[in-house]
Amino acid sequence: MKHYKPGSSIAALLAVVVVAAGACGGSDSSGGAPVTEGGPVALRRLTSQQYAQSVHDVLGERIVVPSRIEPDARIEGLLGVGASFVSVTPSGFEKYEAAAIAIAQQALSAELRGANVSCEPASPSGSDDGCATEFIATTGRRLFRRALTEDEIAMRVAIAASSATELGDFYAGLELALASLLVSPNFLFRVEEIEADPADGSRNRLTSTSVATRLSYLVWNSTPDDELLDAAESGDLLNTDTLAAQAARLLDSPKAEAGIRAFFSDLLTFRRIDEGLVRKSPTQFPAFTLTLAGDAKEQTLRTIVDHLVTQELDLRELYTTRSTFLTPSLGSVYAVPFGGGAWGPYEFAEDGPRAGLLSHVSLMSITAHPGRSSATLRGKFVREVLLCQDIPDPPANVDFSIVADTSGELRTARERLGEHVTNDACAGCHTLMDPIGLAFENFDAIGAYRTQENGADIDASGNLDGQSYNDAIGMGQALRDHESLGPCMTRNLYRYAVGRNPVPGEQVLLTFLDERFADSGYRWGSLIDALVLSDGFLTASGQREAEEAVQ
Amino acid sequence: MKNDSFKWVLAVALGFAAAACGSTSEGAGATGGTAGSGGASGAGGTGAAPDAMGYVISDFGFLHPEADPADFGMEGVRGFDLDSTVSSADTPPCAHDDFVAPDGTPGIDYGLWSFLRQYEPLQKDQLIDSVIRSAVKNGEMSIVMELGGVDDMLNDDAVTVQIFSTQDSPLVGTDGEVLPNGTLARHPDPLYHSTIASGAIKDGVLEAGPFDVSLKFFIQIVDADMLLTDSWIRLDLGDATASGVLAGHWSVAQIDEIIGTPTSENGEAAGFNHTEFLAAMEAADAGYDEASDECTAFTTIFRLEAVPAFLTE
Repeated sequence: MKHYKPGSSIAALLAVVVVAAGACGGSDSSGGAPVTEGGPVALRRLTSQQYAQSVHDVLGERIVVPSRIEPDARIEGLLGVGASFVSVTPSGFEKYEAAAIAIAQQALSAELRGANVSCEPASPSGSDDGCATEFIATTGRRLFRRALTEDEIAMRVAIAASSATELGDFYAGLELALASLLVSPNFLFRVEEIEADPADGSRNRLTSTSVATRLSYLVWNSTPDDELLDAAESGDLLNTDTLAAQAARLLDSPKAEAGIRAFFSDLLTFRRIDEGLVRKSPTQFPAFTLTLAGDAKEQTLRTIVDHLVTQELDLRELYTTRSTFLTPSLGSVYAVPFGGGAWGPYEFAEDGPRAGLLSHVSLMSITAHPGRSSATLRGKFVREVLLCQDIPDPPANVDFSIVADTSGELRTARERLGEHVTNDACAGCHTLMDPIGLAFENFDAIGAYRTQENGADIDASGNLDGQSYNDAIGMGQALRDHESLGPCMTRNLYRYAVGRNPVPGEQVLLTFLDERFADSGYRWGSLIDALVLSDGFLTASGQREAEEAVQ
Repeated sequence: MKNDSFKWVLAVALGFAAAACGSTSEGAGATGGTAGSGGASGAGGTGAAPDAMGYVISDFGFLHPEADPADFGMEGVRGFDLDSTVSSADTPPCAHDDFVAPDGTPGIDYGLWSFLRQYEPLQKDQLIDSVIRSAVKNGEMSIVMELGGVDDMLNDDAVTVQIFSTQDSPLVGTDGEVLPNGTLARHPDPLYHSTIASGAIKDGVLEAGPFDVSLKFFIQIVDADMLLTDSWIRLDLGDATASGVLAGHWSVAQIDEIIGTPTSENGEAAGFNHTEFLAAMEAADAGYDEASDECTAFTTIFRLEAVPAFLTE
């Protein structure tokens, strides 16, 4: 995989910083960005993906991480935001405890301990405080994303020593110490700490270790490595040059692919596929197997990574690109020849009906019912997720029977949904959603192409906020050209990075970030760079009150 | 039908081969598929169709008529008059009674039925039938088919059929059935490519032959070739499927290798021992060998169903 060139976009950004600082009094050190104050910080519980990725990074890829841990919560459309609003339930703690023990046993098994414990105990059948201290301090630093205090180390060395003596096994003692690290709130939660900004006592900034953690989970979806922690603990990370260099280093790492995958998986709700929540009628859609569902998600993620990272292309063209990756099972649904049994690149035909992510099986399946497509869900997805426009929830007493009856006189979705716009209570929202979703009616509930529904020809034409189209291809082009597409992606990435919705004062920052994004030709790396160096990423108004509602 | 000249078959075959070289589907040099971008459309409407169409066999097995197995009752046998003779049990050599087709056509050959009808494991949905039906889905005996020269799915007076083994397994859905529009490669060994049958489509029914069909399979412990000679095929071409029969001559030696010996080794589960099997083979109705004065083959009918697929090399 091709990675970001080290410092390429960062360097360009810094060049602009210098120019801007010279030309415009009042701009700060972050590239002409407006001086703003970030919103409140909060404890952010690791998502299940972050938990697993962190364990793998610290203790090795061969660790089998139990999947039964506290479920993630999606709030305001993102698990990354929900993580700031969840705690650990008693039953959840039991799951974390069981997972911790299972992980510790594996990490310190005879097979893996050599890779995880750098020192040799004086005796494998007894305690060794020196070796235990080294392991706990080293491993704990990666897990807690900061250096452990002396008390935190001493407490666990004592656990390791007493257990080793009791059990006659140094590594068994160390297992308990490691398990205690893994169930600690300091591991399970990303603790974002703030301090007074020495340059401006009226403002708070994140501590350097908190910045390191934000940066690492944004770019890698995992815990910081030793080099980033070194930069944080020395305080250098709060220096703009150092931060830019570290951001570039992380973006250039192969681990950055996990980061971009995590963000888009969250945004596009792919967790629903992972959890088996995207189900289809097996009699109507026998092609929708578990293999197909997994491949569909992977197809879209591969397309995104290739487009944004490998090719460094314009993000907006994700909705028009014909380049993708397929497996034979996907080829069957797309009705295109693709054999060989493995993943491979594929180009949808120029005169074919597919282009862009919204013609993928993944998104067409997620935004559909088990037995039929849903123009409403598809329109809602585009409005809310891709354009950041609010669609109110339907009234509780809405009658779905006409829309759900696909065997009645109203043969196409367009005819059935026409009933909605005759009802004033429904029309307000459905006129926003349905015309968009109807553009995708040529794709059934699993994304297979069709030209008719119940024997009637499908009309996929429509209009997106003034731009007309005839089909999904045209809809993708209209979306690509929509003025809200870029700003919405900026807003979503920002929310994902800071774990909350923007506060009112941050709108000027979002506008600035979007301008930078647009200036770069909507290159992903440029958006990450600008975001990481922004006040919104580095400062905070304070700790969020526990009782504070979602903004 | 069997009087078609060899030269005419060869000419059509060469023409088909030339056409096939230029017929590629979207992106991968494959033939076939349906509905999707760049694929073929099904029957109906004007009947327009692409030149070459691929299929994967989704169901296969001996023909088991639904009606009285003694004489197929009123349904008749959907086969072919392979020997161009309305035969009877007193017409040597290879004397046998013929069956009557559903449309009243006499002379339908299905000599193997005299053996199949006798034993429970050979009946519909029983041991052998189940094994074969599974084998075409799981890759043990997967078969693909290509129709060539198809200009009209309803009526076309010059089409070709070729059948291939494939080493690929068809995609199977949640209902256990073969999914359409998979991509499968023809067997790399041309030994397992049939000769090319020529024929026509009339009112949506394709008939083509004669041709020799050679299939490779490895079902459980049976690693064998199957050669069906002087075969004919009839297919009802639907919107998304093709179904029909494949009839031809199957040698006693191969039947023994593939069914007789392996099945009789299963003892009671087989329902017959090898001695009984060999006795049943005495009823062979085709392949008369003057040197030995023996009939060495059975006329056989397989039913088949197929769904569209993309075929590659």
